[in-house]
Amino acid sequence: MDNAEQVMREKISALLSEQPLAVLSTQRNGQPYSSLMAFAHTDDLGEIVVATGKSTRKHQNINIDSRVSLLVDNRSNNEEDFHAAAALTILGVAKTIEEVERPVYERIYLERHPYLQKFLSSPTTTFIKIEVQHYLLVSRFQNVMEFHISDEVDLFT
Amino acid sequence: MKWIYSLDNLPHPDALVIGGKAMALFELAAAGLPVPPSLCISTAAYDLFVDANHLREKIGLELYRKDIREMRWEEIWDASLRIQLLFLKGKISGDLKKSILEAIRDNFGEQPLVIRSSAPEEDGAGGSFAGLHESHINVSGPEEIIRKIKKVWASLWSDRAILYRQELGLEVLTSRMAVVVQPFAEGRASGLLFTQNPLNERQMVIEAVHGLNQGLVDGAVAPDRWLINRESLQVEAHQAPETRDIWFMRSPSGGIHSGRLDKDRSEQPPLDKSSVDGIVRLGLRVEDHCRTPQDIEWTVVDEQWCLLQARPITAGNKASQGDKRAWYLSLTRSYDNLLHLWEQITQKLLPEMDEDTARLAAVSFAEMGDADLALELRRRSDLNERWTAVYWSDFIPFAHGVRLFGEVYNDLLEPDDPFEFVTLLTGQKMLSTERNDLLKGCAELAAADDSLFQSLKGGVLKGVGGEQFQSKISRLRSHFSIDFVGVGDPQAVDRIISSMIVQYSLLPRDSRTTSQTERERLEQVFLERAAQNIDLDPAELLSMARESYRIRDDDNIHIGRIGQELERACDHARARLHENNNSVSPDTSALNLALLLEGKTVAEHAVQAAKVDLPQGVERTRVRARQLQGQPASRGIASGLARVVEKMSDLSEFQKGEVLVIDAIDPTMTFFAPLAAAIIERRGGMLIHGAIIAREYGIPCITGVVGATDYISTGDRVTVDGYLGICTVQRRDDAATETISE
Repeated sequence: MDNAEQVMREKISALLSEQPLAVLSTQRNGQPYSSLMAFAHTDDLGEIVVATGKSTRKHQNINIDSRVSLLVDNRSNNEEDFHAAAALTILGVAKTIEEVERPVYERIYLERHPYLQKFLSSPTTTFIKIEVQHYLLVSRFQNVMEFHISDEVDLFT
Repeated sequence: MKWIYSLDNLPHPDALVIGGKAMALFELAAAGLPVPPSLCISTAAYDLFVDANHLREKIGLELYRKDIREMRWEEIWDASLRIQLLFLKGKISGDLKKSILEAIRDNFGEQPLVIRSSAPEEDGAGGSFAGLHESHINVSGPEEIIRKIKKVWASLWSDRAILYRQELGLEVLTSRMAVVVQPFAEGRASGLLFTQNPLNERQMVIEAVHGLNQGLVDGAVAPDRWLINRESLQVEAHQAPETRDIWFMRSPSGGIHSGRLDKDRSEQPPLDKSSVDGIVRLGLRVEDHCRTPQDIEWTVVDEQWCLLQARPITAGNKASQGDKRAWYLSLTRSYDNLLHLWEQITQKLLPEMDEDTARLAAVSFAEMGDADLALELRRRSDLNERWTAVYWSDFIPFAHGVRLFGEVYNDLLEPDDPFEFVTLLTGQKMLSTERNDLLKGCAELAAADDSLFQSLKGGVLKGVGGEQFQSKISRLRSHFSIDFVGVGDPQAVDRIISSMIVQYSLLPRDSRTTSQTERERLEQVFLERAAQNIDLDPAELLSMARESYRIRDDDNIHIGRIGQELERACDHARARLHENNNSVSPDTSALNLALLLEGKTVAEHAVQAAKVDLPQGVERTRVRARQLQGQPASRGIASGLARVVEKMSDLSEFQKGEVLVIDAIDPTMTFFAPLAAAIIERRGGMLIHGAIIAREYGIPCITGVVGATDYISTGDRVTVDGYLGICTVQRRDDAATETISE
């Protein structure tokens, strides 16, 4: 791993670790749809996990098109956000977590959000992992760096 | 919190509210020491102004555009210039303005004023950073008073203050500035008193000049000095300056200016024996009160002593090794000094340098024996070193002329674009554009002569074309240091020049921008406004700035000719040594070549610089830049394939319409500029060479892009936004093409 990648991984990890919530975007028939979600991430930055009610629109959307985007940021809702805040756009594919792998992801998720244990264990909740393909980190207002987890380079395929 | 405090305000407000300078004045006044009547406009007024104009975040965006540790001084100066203009253009609230003007009128009537900075940080740094912020002397009229107050506020963000931000604890969110307002009294004599000589603790030192102490503080006027024994209080020595012919006085139109002191006064020291005694006694009272040795600024008006400022003597700001900030600040030259440099450079230095070049160019090495050639190499190396030293001592400081002009221009005109002044400096005849016109002439000849064109395409330059073509080529080589691009590889020069000529033949007839009318309009507005408002000769100031701008670019080509002559001798020596089976590399220095010619051995010459290029097409990392931020240095928007130039010979690959991505460019290399769609440079600044040439050809340029050559690869499609200073990168292997154009 070269230095640039190391630095980028550290910045992304820091942002993901300090933020409990992300905006999840799904779509149906070309109509984008955004939702605020509790999330957790794996140490290798390869996956993000979220949980949602099975009857929700976002869940239905994911069932139709598994391509999703997440936004995580550290804004303080003050003027200084413009130079000081960082925003991370995440592109990936949502997949249902299989029973065999569930304990691992559950531990990661509940470590971040212990108060959601009841919600997560409900039979009406679905537990989803998002396999990350790309991270785009925006900082200093206009600097945008990409970190490609997948070998695919183009964001829009 | 109150906006305005006067000296009789009890209890004294905190230094955070009134700043260090005001705090000291308040304390001296309370102790019954003679200080001028003073008002202090508190930091609460600064807060009100800054918040109402959203300046905090605007400053934040300027200073955090990139890691400030990676900003060069030039970039810091640029950022500061933008911030200064934000303050000047900011609106002050009606209530605040009314309170300030009423307090001033009630206390000082219509008297002209002195308006001085009083930063809490200045105090916190133990007074080691005097002169970071602004003071204005002899200010009259409500509008001018408010303008000068804004300028003092803005000086919290001077380039100097930003350079020393860590020591000062300068922070966008928390730093503030208070202002001291005093009636202006023109002293008969003024000066400084160190109650303890920093060089000899048994002594006091007085420095005094006739008139105002402005010239003394900034070094323009040499003072009389008295060394006084601290115990006996007797004068141990009086050192008179060489002359006292220059002094500073009040200008009728506001401000102050220097002038010639009349003969009678200039023959007399500014202080007589009893005045020296008077200052010594006053100094001791201050020291007693403050309980530490003091650095005091004083003046004498109508034979009354007046303390302008007192602060503890500090050891000074010791520069650690590698701290170049003091050097940067020494580049800020006075107008008089710039005029002197201008004359020195154009009348003396450039002609001398060109004479040296001509003399060197006339020398033929073929007939020289090895010993003579070694001697010649040494001479050339010395000469090159000498001129390089002159470049740093005289040429580089003269570039400050552009900055000084920019500051005056922005003060007078408050333009929307902080760099509008640069437009007045462009469009001149410069060596770099003259060279490019010559290349254009070669291209026209090539376009009319197919066999010449084909030869050039094959990289052949020698003996092709007619006499006219060859004479142009020889002028290119002798006049414009163009051979430099081939340092260490003489064949590369021919390849680069012929490739450039081929590319130039694809250009439309006139590729330089013509905004002559706009320039003339701005010039007229400037000259009119300046004639009414400043004491300097506006036409002279503008000419000086134009020369400063032009020479900033030209000087590299002049000095490049000397370097090229040294290189010519080195090339010859290398070839000769090579023939005699000596091992030499393109990096073997002139002095080592001389040693080798003399039959001596050198340890270093065998070590070759092993520069390994990354193999093309290898994916370096999964991290890529999508959008990189620099500063906008030439307006416009353009999109094209990137050509990353890491070494000179990469330039021969440069194709018309490409975007040049480079670490730093020198005027000897800017011949590609008319061909480029845009320029991206890692080195930052509005006045660097890439920006200068880009403006001449009206192509967008952004500078100060961290990691430009690391994150952009040749062949990537880049869009350069010269309005906002942003470049967007699309990898060459991306299928889709998203480009925007104006």
